[in-house]
Amino acid sequence: MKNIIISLLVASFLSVSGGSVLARDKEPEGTITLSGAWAIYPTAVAWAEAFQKKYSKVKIDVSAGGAGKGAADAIAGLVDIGMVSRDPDPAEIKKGITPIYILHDAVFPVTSDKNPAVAGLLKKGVKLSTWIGIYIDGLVTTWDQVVGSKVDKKIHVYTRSDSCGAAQSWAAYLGKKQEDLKGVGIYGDPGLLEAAKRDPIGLGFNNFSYIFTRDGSVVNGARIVPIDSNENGIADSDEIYTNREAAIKAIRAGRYPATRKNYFFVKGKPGGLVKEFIEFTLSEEGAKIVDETGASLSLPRAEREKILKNLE
Amino acid sequence: MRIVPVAGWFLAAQLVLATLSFAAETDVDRLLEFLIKERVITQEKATEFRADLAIKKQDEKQPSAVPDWVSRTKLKGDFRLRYEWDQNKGQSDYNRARIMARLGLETKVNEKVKLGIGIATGSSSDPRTSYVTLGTNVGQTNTPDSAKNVVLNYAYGEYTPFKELRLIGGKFQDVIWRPSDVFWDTDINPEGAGFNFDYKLNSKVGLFWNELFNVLRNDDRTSKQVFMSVTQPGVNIAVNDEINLKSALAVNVFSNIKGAAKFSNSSGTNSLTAGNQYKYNYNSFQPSLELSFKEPFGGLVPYGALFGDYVYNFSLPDSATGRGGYDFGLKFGKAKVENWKDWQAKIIYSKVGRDAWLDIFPDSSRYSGKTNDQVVETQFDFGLGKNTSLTLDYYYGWNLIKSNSASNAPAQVLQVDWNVKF
Repeated sequence: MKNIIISLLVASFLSVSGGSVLARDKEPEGTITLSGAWAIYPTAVAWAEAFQKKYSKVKIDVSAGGAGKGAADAIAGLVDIGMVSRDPDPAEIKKGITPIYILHDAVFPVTSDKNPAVAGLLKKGVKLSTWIGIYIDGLVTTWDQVVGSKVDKKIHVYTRSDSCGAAQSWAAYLGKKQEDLKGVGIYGDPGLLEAAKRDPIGLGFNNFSYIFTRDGSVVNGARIVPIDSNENGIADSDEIYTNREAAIKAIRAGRYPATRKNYFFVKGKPGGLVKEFIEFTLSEEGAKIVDETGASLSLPRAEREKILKNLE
Repeated sequence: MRIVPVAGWFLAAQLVLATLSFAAETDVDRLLEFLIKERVITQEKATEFRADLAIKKQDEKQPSAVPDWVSRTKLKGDFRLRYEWDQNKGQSDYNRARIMARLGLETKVNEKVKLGIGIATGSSSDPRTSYVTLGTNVGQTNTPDSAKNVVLNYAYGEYTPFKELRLIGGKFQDVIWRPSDVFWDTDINPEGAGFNFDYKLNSKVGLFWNELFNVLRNDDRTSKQVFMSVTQPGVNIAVNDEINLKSALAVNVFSNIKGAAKFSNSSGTNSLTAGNQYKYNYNSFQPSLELSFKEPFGGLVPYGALFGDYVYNFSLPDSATGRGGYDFGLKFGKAKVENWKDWQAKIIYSKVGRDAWLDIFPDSSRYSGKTNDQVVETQFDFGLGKNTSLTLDYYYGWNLIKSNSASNAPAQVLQVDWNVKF
């Protein structure tokens, strides 16, 4: 009798507290799937590893494939989170997507360090109208048109074949869309970087996350082509990036023109384990992982707190 | 991770190469991804293969089926179907159906030079309209169902030496900023040269300078050539996120207009000598202003704007009257009617003195494009879908001097347009 009364009292206590004590103590478990942007992939992998280390019953599966794939997979419900390295389309919001701003980065034009025009490029930079001439109009087809000296070689223009944030962002800087970009298409960031490095007269563009090594220097064999943002006909010292620090400084100061926001796309309102993971990525620990990985830029604390508040 | 030995990789590479003859590149990518997943090749090897394939494609690149100049050329056009009711007190009113069609192309010749050519329905003797009437024209006996005239609407070369400056020459769309069409019919494409200079001082303030040199009459005797030049400096200020102010002061200078024979497309209201020559010069100051608002009236509509012009002919002798004119208006709704259910409403009041402005320029629907009048115009645009809309435009105008003649009687015009463009 006594045991029955104690059990009833304990059960009542639990029901009054809503079982929430137990719920709060319960370790997260389950599976989260992510797919999408190459730009976000390295950071997402690092986040996933840290989250799985923290919660051993959670399994996170991260795959790349481009921002277009991430958006499509999220809309179709094939993944929990789509990684998208461009602004959301109104049509995507209408299909029930909640975009969550998680990272900040940039796209850089890249050529081989064996390019005979490198010296001229580092001296003069390239103006927006010339980029448009190369990638949109097709009116600029040789390196001597770019650097104004006798480098009588064709420009081998490369772009991305997969629907991706990098191409979308690069095209947006040129005032156009990805489908307007000229060039031979290559799948994925690594492929485009490899082509630009191997082809001495090649020109491509890459995500911030792929152009710098872990130690912060530009990937061996590649050169970032300076954008002449102030159109003074000179590649100023703050327009030439030979390491990640210099690039981050320019991006954070708002001086670099081809920057963009990166998002997690979630169908409907994020909840449960997915919400917990997103909150983790926006936490101080998550921001530290971003900075350590070095593939993207973390958001300022105030911005992260604002986004976390909106998640509630 | 177990990697298949060299023979396996070679076989896989052959399989990929074999697919090249009939597969699109995305099929190759899918195949490579499959091989990576099956651990036949590594991600790095696949990356190298993709890069080599792309470099090979550069060397083998076939000439495009579409010439480059086609990709640099924009083709645009529009069509309008109009019902018009015109009532002039003292005369029978009339109804007529009209159409207008315009087709143009613009191509980038090189990084700095563009050319544009456009044709339109209309008449070479009336630059203030591209509309042609369906059936016989009012009071005329011309052939019904006749083919309509098409004229050269514009043809120009444009040079942009740097992004802030655009130089243009030929026959082109007006380069002067005008918040309304009261003093300049939008169908008029001036002939001569001009430039636009736009300079952003900072994120909130932009300066601009527009210049137009318009050849009005080109005779072989220099003293009979009539020119018009317009100099218009102005400023664009983003007062805050919701309010924008655009303001300019144009100075219009005419050469050899006084004493020149009246233009054939004149509305017949400017002062003339007994020999049908212009009695006065028309040099004038013309300030213009537009104050626009985002989400005014407590967010009831997305956009609203107040606008106005004033023109003052400073070259008239003291004895002359009717030297000033002005218009002011309000528009609200959507800034641009582009999609289904977008709409914009507009109301303009104007009063133009007899010799404030040359009567070959004002909107021809506005009391027949005359001066010496007052007109109220109301317009409503409604989006029927992407690139198509309906416009209702109503004018009520009357002469400043009361007179019994039919040509000076008050008049009403209602125009209903179905607009389609690409």
